[in-house]
Amino acid sequence: MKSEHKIWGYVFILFLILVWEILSGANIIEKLFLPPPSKIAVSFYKLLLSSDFWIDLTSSLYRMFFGYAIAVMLAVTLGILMGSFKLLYNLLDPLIEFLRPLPSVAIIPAAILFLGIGDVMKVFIIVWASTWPILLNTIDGIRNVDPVQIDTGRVFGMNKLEITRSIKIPNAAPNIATGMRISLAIALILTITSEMVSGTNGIGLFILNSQRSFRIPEMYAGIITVAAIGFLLNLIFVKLERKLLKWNKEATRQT
Amino acid sequence: MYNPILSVSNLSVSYQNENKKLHVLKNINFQSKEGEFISIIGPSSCGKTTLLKSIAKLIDPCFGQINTNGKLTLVFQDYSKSLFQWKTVRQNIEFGFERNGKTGNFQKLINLVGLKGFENYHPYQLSGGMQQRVAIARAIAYDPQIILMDEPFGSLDSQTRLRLEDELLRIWGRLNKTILFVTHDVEEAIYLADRVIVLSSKPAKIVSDVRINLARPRNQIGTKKSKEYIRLWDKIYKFLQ
Repeated sequence: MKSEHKIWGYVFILFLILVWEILSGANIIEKLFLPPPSKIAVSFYKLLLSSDFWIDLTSSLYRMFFGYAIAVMLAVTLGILMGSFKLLYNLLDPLIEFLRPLPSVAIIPAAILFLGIGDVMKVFIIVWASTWPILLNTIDGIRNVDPVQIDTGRVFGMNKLEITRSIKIPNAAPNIATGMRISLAIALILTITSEMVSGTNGIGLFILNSQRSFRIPEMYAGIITVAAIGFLLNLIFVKLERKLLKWNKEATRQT
Repeated sequence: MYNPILSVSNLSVSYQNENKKLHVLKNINFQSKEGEFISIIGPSSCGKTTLLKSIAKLIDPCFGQINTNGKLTLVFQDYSKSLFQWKTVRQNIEFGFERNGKTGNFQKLINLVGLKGFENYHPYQLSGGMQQRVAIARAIAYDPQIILMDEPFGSLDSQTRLRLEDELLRIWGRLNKTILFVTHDVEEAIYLADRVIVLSSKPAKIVSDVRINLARPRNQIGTKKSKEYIRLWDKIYKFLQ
């Protein structure tokens, strides 16, 4: 039943592509700026055969995952600490509230000053931007564990550390996962952005260079690649989340 | 006299509520011997839960002393909030063994609480009565000398509640545990216990400590029809007025 409804969504996408093909083919929309999907598909296929493209793709993904992994470790650790120690929370929360709304791209020029235009700067920007959602969700999850859960730990003779490790963290896992899912998209955005601002390789730079040298179908092929990466990563993440945190979805649905 | 497994002396608890001091418990004194089943009853929100939480050391008493001669644990009313949702039935119960630091006989325990066949279910897949059985099994797995129960059947439907009362008595009969059972239900208090401690409304003090000399094993129909039961019911109910 559910998958049947979804099929119509995909059919609609195909329909839009078809309309695009017709409009662009008949030159109703400017062919030069928006080539027909068939032409983009051809250049996408050619791209897949070129080794340069694969270097761009893998270096983008490498930076992205490196930054994302650091952000996850950093934010989860800090979030657990801030969620557990009120003093630390009171100390850092105002600073976080101040830094968090800052659009991450705004600090790229400053980051270039300190870290240069290489991978270190890009990874730093990715870490910076991806940290906030994970951090805030982790703090939230740890702080909002039901008091009965904590009392349960205490009546089974657990100390604070044991309660944090074995009760608070599992309870906060769904929140942490939500933060991680949001940050996955953010990491991709900042990967592409940082490459466009200063890059020697990567999909972001590829899109920008294609546009500058007027290889418009390639540019769109690059954009589609990024869209596909985002789509696939999210799909994998959601599948994993559903599998690992199934108990949470079912348990919260009941109450 | 006997060597009490639990003794509460001169216990008083009060909360600082804004600028008003709220007295919840006032000069509570009682002792329990090993293996005794004590019901604690009182008007709603009189401080029964506070008394249990003080004994479980979840609340600091303002005044008085609580001495326990052995390990204790608490079974909460809200089983769905107390169970570990990410763990299966088996893992929830094994948590009790782990905290006890000993391996226990899981098969024996799962049979005792009648959950055979549900080992790999998660709490959300079980009915309320079954979830509370998991919580009780987890408490037993911890192997405490004293089990505190805070209205454990309070949010169950009446049929499930009666069945679980009988099961609790059966379990208690097999293990030599002291149980402190908080309830607001007079019938439940009498039916289960060796002694019923009656609390007054806030600030709660003990107004009566009634010995229940009903024969065991008890059963829902026969026991509750007996003259002695009816006499006790009248007596305790009057204290609650």
